Amino acid sequence: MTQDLFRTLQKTVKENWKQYVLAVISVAVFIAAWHLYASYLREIDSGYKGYIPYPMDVAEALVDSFQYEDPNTGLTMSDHIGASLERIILGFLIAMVVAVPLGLLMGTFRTVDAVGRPIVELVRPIPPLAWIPIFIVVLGMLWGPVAIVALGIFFPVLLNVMFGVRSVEPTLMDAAKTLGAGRGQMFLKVVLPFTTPYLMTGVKVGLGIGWMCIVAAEMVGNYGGGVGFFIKDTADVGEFEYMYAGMIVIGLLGIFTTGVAGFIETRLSRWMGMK
Amino acid sequence: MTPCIEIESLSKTFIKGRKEVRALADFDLVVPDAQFVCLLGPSGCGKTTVLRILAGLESKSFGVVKIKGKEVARAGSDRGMVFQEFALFPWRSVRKNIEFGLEIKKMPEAERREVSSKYIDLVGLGGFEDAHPKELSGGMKQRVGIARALANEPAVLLMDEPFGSLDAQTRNLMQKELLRIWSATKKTILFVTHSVDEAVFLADRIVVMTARPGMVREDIGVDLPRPRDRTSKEFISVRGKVLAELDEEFEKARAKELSPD
Repeated sequence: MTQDLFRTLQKTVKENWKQYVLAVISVAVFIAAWHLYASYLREIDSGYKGYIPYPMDVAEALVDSFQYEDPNTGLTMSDHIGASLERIILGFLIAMVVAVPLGLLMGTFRTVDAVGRPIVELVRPIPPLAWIPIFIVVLGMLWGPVAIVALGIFFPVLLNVMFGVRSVEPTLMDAAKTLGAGRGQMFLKVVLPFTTPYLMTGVKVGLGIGWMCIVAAEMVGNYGGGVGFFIKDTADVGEFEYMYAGMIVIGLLGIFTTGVAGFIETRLSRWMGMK
Repeated sequence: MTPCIEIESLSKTFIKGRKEVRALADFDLVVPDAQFVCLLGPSGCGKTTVLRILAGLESKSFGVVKIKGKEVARAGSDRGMVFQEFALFPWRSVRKNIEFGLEIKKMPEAERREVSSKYIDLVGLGGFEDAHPKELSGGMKQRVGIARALANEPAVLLMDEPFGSLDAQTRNLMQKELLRIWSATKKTILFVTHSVDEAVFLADRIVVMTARPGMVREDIGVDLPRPRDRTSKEFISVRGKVLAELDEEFEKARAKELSPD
């Protein structure tokens, strides 16, 4: 698996090196512009203590945050990352356990769809963040944020699974029938494999939303830290280079998890011969 | 001996919007074992409906449909079907596609492998066992489709315009291949097509259907030795005869389409 990953990376680097060079240049230009702007602010006001630190200071803060133990909480950045990851994973698991079977049922049976659809359509447009106050009060500091993440991941997974089930080509069902498949076998051998790539798309989208939810939820309330908490905490005391470091960590974590999901998605569908 | 296929006064009516459409009316057909029959007719005459009712994919409104003396109820592995769109499972390799029906039957793996290997050889797919459908050309896809249907050892092979989406060259090749496979397996084949040329090249017998509601207009035996030569005088004469029958039905179908009702 890791060897596989490495080989794919090697191949993509070889094929797209121009893109990578441009990407590096674009990031470098962004950092340079940031640095110039930060210098300019300090040029016109030598006592500047504002929101814009030097990029170098943010980088230092980022490195330092992994070693520095907060005197109030006793937590380092690794603890915060661990806490956020734990919530994401718990929320993800809860969302999957509910959304996948429900999506399969709603996609398969008209009656289940007729019962479930109104509630889904009613709740779906409400941003998961709107649930933060009530979830934190009712479910507490650990399960509140987890529930919000779960809700954020739930809908993209549910809708993609439903869509996958409905997209099964009728001729494939006909073929399976003429080959002797009953209802159960049809579900296991045709509907499930056909739906899997759709499910993975839902997971990828859901994880992105999950990270948005976790940061906001941790800012409102948390138990045992979290990167969202770290961002708010450092901003409150004016340690902006630490705040930016926390934001960068969130960005990287988001890229990492959706990247893993995307990798599994393409691998799976290629292995299944779907793409 | 009981014939392989027995269809008696088969009718099919379905509702389209507010109108009742009579697709089939009193369609009769008896096919003995190992015969190759082509169903030919203008589009919309219900030839595919006959096939789908035989396969158990669609219900009949009235009539008797029997395979080997047994009334057809729902789809089952005693009737293999080959589709114009190939209908291969994209996530399964060639071998796994062919083994689909055997898995359903819960055949042990070793035996499954043996059977699939036999049919892979028969349809000429050796070396492509592990390829996925998207890696195959149209002709090769349909070879998989045929092998998959045959692997279940059905009493009859139902083919719904199986070469309709292939280019002309591949189509001619596949027709020859099908005749080779047919003579190797001695299956009863009911083959739907709208190509007169294809029907005359392949069939022992051509059943020309009327425009909707479909019934048998003409039952033409093709008594030409195989391999058939498309340019021979006899071939062209049979072709002309079938074409004349069909043309009249085409005209009728067109007139019906144009007339307001």
